Amino acid sequence: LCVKDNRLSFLDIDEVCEEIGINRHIIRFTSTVRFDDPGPAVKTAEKLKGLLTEKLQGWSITISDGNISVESVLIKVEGEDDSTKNIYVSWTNQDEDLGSYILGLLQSMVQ
Amino acid sequence: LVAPPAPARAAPLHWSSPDVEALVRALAREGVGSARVEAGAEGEGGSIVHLPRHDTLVHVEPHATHVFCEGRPDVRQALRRALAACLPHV
Repeated sequence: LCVKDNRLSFLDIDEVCEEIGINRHIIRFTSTVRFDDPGPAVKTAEKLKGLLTEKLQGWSITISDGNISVESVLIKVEGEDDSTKNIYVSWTNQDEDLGSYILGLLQSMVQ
Repeated sequence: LVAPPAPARAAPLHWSSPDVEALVRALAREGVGSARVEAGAEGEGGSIVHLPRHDTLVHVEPHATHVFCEGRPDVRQALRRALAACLPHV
């Protein structure tokens, strides 16, 4: 919430940076989890979305082309149909709590 | 596993870009040493910091830093503290 043109306005963080003339520096972390789940990668992604929906109640979780998004956390599944999948989990520093929770959840799932 | 986080927590906002030599020193202070630095791809700028002992790679660009790491929380927290020490933030 800020004052802009003598009016109170809601701005997102990128708009605030532009208004005050600073170059935001984005920090992003990516880690990989290997998951033995035969079948198409998109099916694995759907299973993961189901798990996240169950565990992260109150959060908006979307899936598009097999890529799952929760805030800045992106989860991408890659791998051939009959092989182990690589699950890439990536998040910005702002979403460290959420990103590390999801990574820990996936790591515990494959152990 | 801990409980899921609550939504909408405040987090630091960083700006500018880190000095790579200062970042390597900050990493060493955090116990993440043995860094090897190389220039990024020609025309793209930036630097790549390899941390082979921790199976970690840090790609530093003018407006973004991307850390590829194994997923150990202690290493990630050390990286976060080192980056925070090299970047102005609120």
